[in-house]
Amino acid sequence: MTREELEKRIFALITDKLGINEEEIALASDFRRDLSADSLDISELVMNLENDFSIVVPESEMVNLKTVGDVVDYIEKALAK
Amino acid sequence: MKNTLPRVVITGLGCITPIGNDINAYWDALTKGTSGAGLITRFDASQHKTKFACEVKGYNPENFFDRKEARKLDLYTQFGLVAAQQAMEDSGLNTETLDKFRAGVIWASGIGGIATFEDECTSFVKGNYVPRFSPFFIPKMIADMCAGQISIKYGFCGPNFATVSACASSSHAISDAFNMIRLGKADVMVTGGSEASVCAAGVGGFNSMQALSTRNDDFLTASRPFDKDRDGFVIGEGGAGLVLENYEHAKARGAKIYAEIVGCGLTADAYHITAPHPEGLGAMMAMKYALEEGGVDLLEVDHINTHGTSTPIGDIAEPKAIVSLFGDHAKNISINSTKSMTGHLLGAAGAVEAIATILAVKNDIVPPTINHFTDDPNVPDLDYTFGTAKHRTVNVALSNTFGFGGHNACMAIKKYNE
Repeated sequence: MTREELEKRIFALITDKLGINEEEIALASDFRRDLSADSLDISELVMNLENDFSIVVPESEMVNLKTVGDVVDYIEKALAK
Repeated sequence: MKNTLPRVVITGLGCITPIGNDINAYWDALTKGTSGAGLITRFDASQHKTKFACEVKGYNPENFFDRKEARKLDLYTQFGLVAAQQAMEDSGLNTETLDKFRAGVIWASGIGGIATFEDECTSFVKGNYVPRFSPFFIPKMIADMCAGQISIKYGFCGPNFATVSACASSSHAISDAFNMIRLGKADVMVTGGSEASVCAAGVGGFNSMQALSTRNDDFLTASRPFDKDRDGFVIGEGGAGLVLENYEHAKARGAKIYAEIVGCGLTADAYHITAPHPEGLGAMMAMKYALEEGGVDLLEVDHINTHGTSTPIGDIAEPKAIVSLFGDHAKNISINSTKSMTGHLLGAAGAVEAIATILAVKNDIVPPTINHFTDDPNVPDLDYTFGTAKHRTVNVALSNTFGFGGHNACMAIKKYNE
């Protein structure tokens, strides 16, 4: 999967779960500040990403996932392992 | 004995029911004698003993909630928010100028988000018992969440909680809301209840209790309260909301007043988990207390909206209670069971029937008990308003609800006079 394909898949999942349009989301979007997500939204999102990409995100990592870009970077690295 | 506590009036109504998705449609269907039963669409009921229910029709969550919001709300909460919104709009209250700490919400659900519970547990099992529950599982499912959601929507910071007493739940909510105003803890209370239990576990569970009608070949007439061939209740879903208000508060803003709640009688059977007391002792005392609290004489009662679920035992005990309390006057009372049309909305039944009773008082029309074919010699011979609505003066009416666990609640509603 190319970086571009990965971004596209993650963007689609986030827009669906948070009920937002594609224009509203960018790599720099902060989940809480820009996308009005709360801690429950973020937990659910991470669970969905774990399912979709067959990875496990340790709870200690979740605090570092502040922006959409953080998530893309994290999953890219996790898939490369 | 008249008390000197504040008077409590009803200034707003809203509902989403199996026979109408707003107050006008509901009242129209009630007075015409419409059955809300149909084959179950919410889940595949092909293996269930009962394959029909009184579902809400033509409901599209996207007309009320955005996609993200709807996903986090169990259907019972959605029905509650829809009903509460209608009641708030109907009340004409200005939420900008209202003292938010003097406005509260007491909202009932008998079960809460049982479909959410079922979905989450099903995926847990399908996922090889690896616990991957949604973080929204608990907040969607718990039975108090609708009260919380309504308060968030309107910014109401007054008393806020849920009541649970099975099929009497929303009568207890209304009773508590009534008392909050009388005790001076609030000026305005949004109250009522909602339920959405037409799911595999809900219907399956009630089926195992032999509580539901299994008249699959004639479901439109399956809810037949007081009929000789009644064979159980028809499960319903929906929500109903009322705005209760301190009379002086309502008068000061020139509010439209539907009627007045004058008393609520609350008792327990202390007898059996699901069967009512055979003589309806708890029910009788609940009615007696409601009238006493309201300072209403027995002879003033014109109408009783019964619990009348269409179950073999319950439909005998309640009329017996009416006869034992009212004696000869019982025959003058126009009795009905609107469950013959709406089905049994469980935790929302008290509110949806309170609305039917309030509108009967306001409009001087008693909606009928439909689906009557054969008299039951075991059911006391009273005027059950079989078949068609009755136009008559209704100055005082009672609304009865009883819940598994032996909970009895009765509210006395009086025509509004300054």
